[in-house]
Amino acid sequence: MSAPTAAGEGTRRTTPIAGRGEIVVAGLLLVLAGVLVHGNLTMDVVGDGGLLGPQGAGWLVAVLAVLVALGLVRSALAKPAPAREAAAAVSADTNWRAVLTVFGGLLAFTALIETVGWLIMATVMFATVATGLGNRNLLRNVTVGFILASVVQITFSGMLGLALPSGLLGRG
Amino acid sequence: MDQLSSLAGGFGDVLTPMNLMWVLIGAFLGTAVGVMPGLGSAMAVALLLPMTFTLDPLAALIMFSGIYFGGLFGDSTAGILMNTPGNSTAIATTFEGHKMARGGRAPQALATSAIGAFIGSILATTLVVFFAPTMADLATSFGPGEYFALALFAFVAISTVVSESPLRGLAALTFGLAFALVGVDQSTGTARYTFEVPALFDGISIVVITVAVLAVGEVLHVAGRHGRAGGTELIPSRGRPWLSGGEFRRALPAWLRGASIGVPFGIIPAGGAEVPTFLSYTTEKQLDKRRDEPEFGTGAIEGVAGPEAAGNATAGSAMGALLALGLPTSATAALLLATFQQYGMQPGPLLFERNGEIVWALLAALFLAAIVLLILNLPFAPLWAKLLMLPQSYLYAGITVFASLGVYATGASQTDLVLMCALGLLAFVMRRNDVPLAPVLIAVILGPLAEYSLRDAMANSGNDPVTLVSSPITIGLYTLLALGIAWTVYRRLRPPAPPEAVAAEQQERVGSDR
Repeated sequence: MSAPTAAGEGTRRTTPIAGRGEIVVAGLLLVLAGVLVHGNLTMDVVGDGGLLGPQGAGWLVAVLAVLVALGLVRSALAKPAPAREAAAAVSADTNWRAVLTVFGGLLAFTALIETVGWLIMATVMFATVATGLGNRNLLRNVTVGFILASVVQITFSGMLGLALPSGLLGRG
Repeated sequence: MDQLSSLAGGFGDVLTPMNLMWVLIGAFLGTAVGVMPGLGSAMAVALLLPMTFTLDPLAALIMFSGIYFGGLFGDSTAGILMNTPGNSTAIATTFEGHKMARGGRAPQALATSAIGAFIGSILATTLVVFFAPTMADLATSFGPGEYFALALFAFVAISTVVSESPLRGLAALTFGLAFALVGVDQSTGTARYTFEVPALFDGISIVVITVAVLAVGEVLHVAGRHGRAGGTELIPSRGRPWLSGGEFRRALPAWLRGASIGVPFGIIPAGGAEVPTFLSYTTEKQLDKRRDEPEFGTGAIEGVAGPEAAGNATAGSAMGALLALGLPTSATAALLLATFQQYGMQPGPLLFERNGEIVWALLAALFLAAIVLLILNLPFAPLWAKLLMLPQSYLYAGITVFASLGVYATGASQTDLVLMCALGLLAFVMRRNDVPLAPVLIAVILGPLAEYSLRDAMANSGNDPVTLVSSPITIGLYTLLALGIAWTVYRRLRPPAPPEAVAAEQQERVGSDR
């Protein structure tokens, strides 16, 4: 599908992040700590919550997040070269096109479910994910998706009384 | 005996056509997700959790426990026939099981594993029936200090002691703890980390978190690996699925040894059945070496019998820990706990008093589920293997549709879908970096328990920290925890793992990548 593994050989070593995926996780943990600290500082505390109060647990988790993030960065920097290369090889061998297609399908569903409705959006998402995962028979993907979406609509909306938005089709 | 009459009452509740149907559906779904690589019982329960809004509690719990056991029945099928374990719990079975299949003994390997899973389930469930009420009685004396110790124990055990890398386990735990904090504070009514978004006042729904982390994360992970995994071939299973007398005599001790290894692990928050299955595999291998003609490596029946029995025994006793102590020891158990909570029931010491009928019916259903699963798996294993022919693209597209349906149906809220996308992406990043996902779920579910019991303990004692270590139970738990940490440190300081363990780990990667 995309470039074979061997093509990544030259570019692999260029960034200091390559083979050190832990740094990404550490970054996310630091963002999390930041959000918790910001939330604690701007929190509109109601009443008396005792020693820890509503913010205490937030501080504890924020400190934990920072400590774990620092530990991850340290272990990433101390990683021996062979382990780094192996990790870089694995991450270079990712089918990003498939990941982005699938995620795009999810985002489209999220954004449009209420305006366009379940039947159309579920069909679109099914077809997008199936196509993203390498099934090139678009017509069949759409058909299978439509059948699945209809069956779900009938069982959940019709029999179990769960409300699924009808969107465009409902107005027509 | 009290327990026996209660259990008989439970059977009375379960033996209705409707409830038997839920047992059957659960067993069916469980076997199906167990057979398919990459799908686990935790994901299946997560995807079905929204159904709790339309089902009565007993029906949902019966179905979910069928899925829970069924996942462990089915997971060895793909491992034996294709050398691709359906789940990490079947890796230990795969080593000898696939060799048996290659040697033309596929039906025997499948039968050994199905009977092993059955024996493990039945033995463990019987123990739960007799000991869970006693455990629950003991636990009625638990105060906030004990609960805090229990939650802390679960956190540390699942993130550091069991995990490959303690740092990664702790990272997962931290994310889970933070998600659990969002929402209105129960004791003061303060809105926490909601950023003025009304949809967040009730907190992030457990359904959204589990579906995002387990299902969406998995779909993205599979997409990233698409077209990268090598092909595998399916060995057809032909011939009688029965064991000869000689085979049975060799497998029986292994089944029993496996089950006795598995039972204690269900009570320890060790993240499921991986550890006991490997422990059982190693035990059988050591015993095999003493034989005149060691068979391990050529398809030894003990290598299939032991780990399978161990895996299901762990699942059975985990159910006991969940019901009696409210302590989930694996991701699936955590989801069962969430199911109880959806219905306003709190597993733990009071459950047997308040919802006794449901508990005993559930235990009765576990016995029935084990029997149904044996019938479904013993003669029909080759048919289940046909599921592996289902195109991967449709399977995962279907999972995506059901994931979004579940999340949207819970609250009819677009915010939940946005959270699902974001958390799914986070789970994808975590999986790429070998960060385990189970600690996230355990933290989300036990986080509030830990926080509020700590705050209660402080309030009750006038902020005296000594109150946390003032009872024999808390001291015992913290001692156990300290020993666990010491063992982990010792294990890490030892010379690198023997080649066999490394091979097992690589196998696991192959398994989880699929």
